[in-house]
Amino acid sequence: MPEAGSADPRIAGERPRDATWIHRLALTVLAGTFLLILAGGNVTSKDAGLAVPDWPLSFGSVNPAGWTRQPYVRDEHGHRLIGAAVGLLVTALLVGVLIRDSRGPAKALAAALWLGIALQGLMGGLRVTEKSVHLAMVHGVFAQVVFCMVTAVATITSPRWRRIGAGVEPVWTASPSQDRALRLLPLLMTACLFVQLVLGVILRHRGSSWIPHAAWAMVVMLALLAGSYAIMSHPRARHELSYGAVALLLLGGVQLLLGLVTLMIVVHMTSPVPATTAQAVVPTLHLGVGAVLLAMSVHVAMVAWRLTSAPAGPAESRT
Amino acid sequence: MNRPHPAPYRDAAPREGVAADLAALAKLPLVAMVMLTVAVGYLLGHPGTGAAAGWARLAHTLAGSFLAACGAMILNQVFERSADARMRRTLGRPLPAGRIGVPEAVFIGTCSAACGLAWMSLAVGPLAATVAAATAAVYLLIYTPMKTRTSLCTVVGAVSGALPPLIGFAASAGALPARAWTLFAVLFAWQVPHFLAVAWLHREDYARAGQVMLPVVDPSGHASARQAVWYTLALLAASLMPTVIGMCGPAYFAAAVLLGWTLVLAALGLVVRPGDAAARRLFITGLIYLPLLLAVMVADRR
Repeated sequence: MPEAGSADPRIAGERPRDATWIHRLALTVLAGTFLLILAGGNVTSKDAGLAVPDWPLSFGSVNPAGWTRQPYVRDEHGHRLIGAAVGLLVTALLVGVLIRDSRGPAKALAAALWLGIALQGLMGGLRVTEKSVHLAMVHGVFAQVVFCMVTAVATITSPRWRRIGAGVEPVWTASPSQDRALRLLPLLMTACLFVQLVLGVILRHRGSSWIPHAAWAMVVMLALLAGSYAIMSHPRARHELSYGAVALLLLGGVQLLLGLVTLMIVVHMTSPVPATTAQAVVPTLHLGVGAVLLAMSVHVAMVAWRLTSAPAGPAESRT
Repeated sequence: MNRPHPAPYRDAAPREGVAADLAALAKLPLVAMVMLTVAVGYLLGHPGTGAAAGWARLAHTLAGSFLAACGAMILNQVFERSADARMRRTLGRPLPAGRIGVPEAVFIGTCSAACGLAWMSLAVGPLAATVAAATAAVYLLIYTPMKTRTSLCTVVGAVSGALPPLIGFAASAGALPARAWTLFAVLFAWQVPHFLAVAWLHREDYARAGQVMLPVVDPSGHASARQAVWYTLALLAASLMPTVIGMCGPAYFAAAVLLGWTLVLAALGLVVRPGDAAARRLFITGLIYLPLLLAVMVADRR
């Protein structure tokens, strides 16, 4: 994942202190968005999406009295409050990037993220006022898209990204096929994860058969293995991105187990409203780990792309 | 590499006594595996449980299968006695060691196979007997001679190893529906990595006997390891089919996923670090995998 820390002092033309706080703000947004996804997942797991019938206010108020005492209202209104906080943080991040980051792609990504989070909030509200299951599904999928966008901003503002692009690393000689695999397999992995996410959202909101989601999980696991293999067999990526390969495999294993536990728990549910704590918590946890996995995959795909297109450094050659 | 290879089945060491020799001649551990898969096929082909499952018919099916399988194993040892005499692992078998003569073995094997097929035909039905006869024919007439000619013998051997559950299905359902072929696919995909692991562990023996298993003609082991991975992945996919077609429930699906990935990882171990240790792990994992998978399949059948 993107890391906090000072920018590489060898990189000319950058302002290390600004780069550092922008990156830290991006990581804060990332944590907030993750919390928001968990809260949203919790609302869906408990089928509490319509517990507050109006929007943008809640029961005609910004913060209705006694909202913490009613469980479903607490879940839905809490989700809205976290969403509002994340919206403010994203606005601060956009301002920070526009003012202090000179790179066009970083500005474009931050602007896209701001638009994305605004659209996501709007969809969440319309889902309530229109009582639309379809909008709820799009809201569920787009939440993960926004999380990926935050990940992208956190990655592009990270010291690692700047260092790789500056060509201050030794030259790592890789074959064209290793470069091609490193460029394409993490992208394929991300695409597979995204398809899996869509299947999961359809399953959660439509109550359709669990088999496509569970069967595609096998394809996802294969894609994770292939992506990790591409990293570990590439000399430079093995040096720069081995943490990503390990994290992907670990998260994939945990997610597979969580998915199976979810299956065993949810399959016995006779109503969309969970009867036990496990029936509410485990699917939300499964959704949360899935989000982290997808975000990690986006981060890995971006860094892998960067590694295969960044300029060669001046130091000695390594294989 | 230089230390003695462990025998995958306990029929390598010389035994004393007629009963022990007959057991070794019939390869009883392999016959037990055949019986297990026949029983699983029978139970999955039958909608009922308990008395409704037709225990008497199951007993007839198992008895006929037992005799037919023993006969096929005995005749296989007759055909392969020269090769067995050249392999350390099989040197002590009754035929190469001379404790049982060839005419006696041919007589016992033929009688056993014929009795088994007749029993099946009369007490169970012609379809089950036909599948049993086909199993024995593929094993004896195609797989056994192919072992000295091409490394594809493993695939043909996998066909004969995957047919027994169809005997059970034919016995209980009187037909071979899609669910029967699903079980066939699982057994087929399981056989290949299993026998690749066995052949890897005994490749020097097989080479001495002139049997061209893939690990014998692939000294680096890369092709064998790759094939093991592909077949374990195919097995993972095939093992999910019983739930997809509604034969089993989600508990089976969960077990198949966990067991399947365990086997895939064992096969990947052979790719990452080719060697006897990885092959032994794959072999043992496969031996644990199949009975567990079949047990859950029967327990969670619909």
